[in-house]
Amino acid sequence: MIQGIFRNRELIAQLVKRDFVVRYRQSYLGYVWALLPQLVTVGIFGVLSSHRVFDMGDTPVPYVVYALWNVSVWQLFSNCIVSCTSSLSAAGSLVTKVNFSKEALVVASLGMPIFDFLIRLVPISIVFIWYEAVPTPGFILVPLVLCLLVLMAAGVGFYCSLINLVLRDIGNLVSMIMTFGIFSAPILYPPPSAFPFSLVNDLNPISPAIKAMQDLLWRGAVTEPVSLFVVALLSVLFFLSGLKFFQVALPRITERA
Amino acid sequence: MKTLVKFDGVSKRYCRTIKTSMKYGVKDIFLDLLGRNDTSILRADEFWGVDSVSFEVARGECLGVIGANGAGKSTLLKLLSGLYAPDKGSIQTLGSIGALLEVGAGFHPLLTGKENIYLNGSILGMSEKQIRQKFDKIVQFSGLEDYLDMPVKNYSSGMYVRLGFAVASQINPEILVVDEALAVGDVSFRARCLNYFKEYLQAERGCLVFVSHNRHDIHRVADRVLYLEQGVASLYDSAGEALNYHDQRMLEKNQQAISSASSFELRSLNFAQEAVSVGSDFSVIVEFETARQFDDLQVGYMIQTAEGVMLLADSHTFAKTVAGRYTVTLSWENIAWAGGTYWFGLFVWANNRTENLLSAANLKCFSVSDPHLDTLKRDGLLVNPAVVDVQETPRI
Repeated sequence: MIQGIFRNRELIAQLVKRDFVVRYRQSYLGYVWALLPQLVTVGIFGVLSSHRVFDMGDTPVPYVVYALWNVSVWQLFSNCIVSCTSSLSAAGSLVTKVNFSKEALVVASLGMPIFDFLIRLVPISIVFIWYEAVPTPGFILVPLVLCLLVLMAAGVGFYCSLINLVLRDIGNLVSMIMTFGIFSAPILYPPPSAFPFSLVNDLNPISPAIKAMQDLLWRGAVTEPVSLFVVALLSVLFFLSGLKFFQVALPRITERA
Repeated sequence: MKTLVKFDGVSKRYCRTIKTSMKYGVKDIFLDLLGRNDTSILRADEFWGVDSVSFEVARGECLGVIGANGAGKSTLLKLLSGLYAPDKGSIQTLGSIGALLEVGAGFHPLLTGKENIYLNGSILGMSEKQIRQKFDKIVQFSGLEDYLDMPVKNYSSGMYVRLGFAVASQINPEILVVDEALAVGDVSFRARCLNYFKEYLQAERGCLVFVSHNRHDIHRVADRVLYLEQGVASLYDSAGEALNYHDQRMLEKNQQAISSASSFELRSLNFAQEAVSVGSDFSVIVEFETARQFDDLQVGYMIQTAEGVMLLADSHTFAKTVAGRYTVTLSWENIAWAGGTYWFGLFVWANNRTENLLSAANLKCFSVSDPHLDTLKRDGLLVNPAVVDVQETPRI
């Protein structure tokens, strides 16, 4: 099942290259667009926070550092899902007229969000240095947790991309959930501890991963390894079940697309 | 010869309404996941888009697929290329499949021709190294050397086809599937494609399954023809026979309603011979009635091929005709028209062509059979073979 994806690595590389070239071919500002949305979001919340419009609670590092990192991670996750969801419907007649491993389209659509994230690491590093929020050695494990998030996004993406071919509501639904989902995880504020609000965080499968990365960056050790393990398990499960669903349902969906 | 494609009673269900189709889709996916889906029965609102089709294609052989719009040709090719799974029956294929169902599927409009060659090549399963090796051949086949750095959004549809076919031709599949793709190419490119097909088949590099509405293309390439009508297939060993039958069925649907003036009535039009073949006689018997006297009555007749190419058009002027019934017989002896299906058209004018009494270009169709069509691979509008004289020239 997974071999199929590996066998198509050259195709995936070509598709990523296509997305990359196409995106920057008719653009002057280019990479700026990868940075701007997250800088603006953080800027707004930074201003609101510093003027005490609402209380962000205690963050382990200066708020701007905290928010910038988390928003970038969230955007990696949400952009991966959104991009996967539209990957098949954006491919047009390629899906209905050419027989090849369509998984490649979904996997390749992860390319741009990951690339954007890597670009964003530049301003993130600058802000980290500026605020002297030097990460602990645990940050070496952060990429692993990021991989889990991408894996989960791809798993969800396998389901959504197929369904979006016949039911375009999914695309809109996913973008909406991703826009508001940012408030359901400890991204712009520290995790709440009071009961009804803490529930949202506890049930959200993304929260433990976000929290684990914060721990690794600034505390040096994961404080809730069990929930992180559950997230890891979920990610693998989502990915494998998504891939299986994708392969079984594809012919039925293609007929109707 | 080795069989590369084998269809055995293949059927495909289609649903008439989108809502029911979605409902069935969800059900099917669920049952597929459980591995217990019985797809061999029709549910409410469903019909067989392709119905129990069986055929085999061997290496070096070409199967032409013809049929009216919506007869199931594209579905058949999608089943063959693996895009659809059959609901009933089985499909066995041996070797790699290269399907050209829509040319330029996968081209990105913003990318240049060169970039698209690499992209499309890898979608069709070539590695980057293979594409690099074959790049020059692809470019040469497409004939687009001067436009490689232009984004393909500025290409014409013909150029799209050229590039798409050039890439597909280099993947060397053992089962080549082509759907009506060449229709937009210009004459020289189509000739190049047909030559490619012939070479491919002669060298026994694989087999070809080819959908076309162009009878000359089918006739030139296909060894056998599958005629589809509402999903049901009939297989013909002779391309000519299948094409004639097909054209006749198609044309009959297009029979024109006759518009004529009140003073003139066409009572009947019949062909004297039941079967017409090359070299036989052909007569048309026209019965009409006039309600008043005409000083000059001009009867025009014309014969067109199924594609609308004029084979002949001529007219005959009658002297003064009084009101009454007339039977006019038009006869041709020893006809030299090529095998195929033709339209017979009739026009009647009066008063020095100022008054039109009858106008029907597609009045009735007839077929001319040519027993030697397939063996001699004749083509063209006329059967007018040259007198061939061969003499050995002594060397001095």
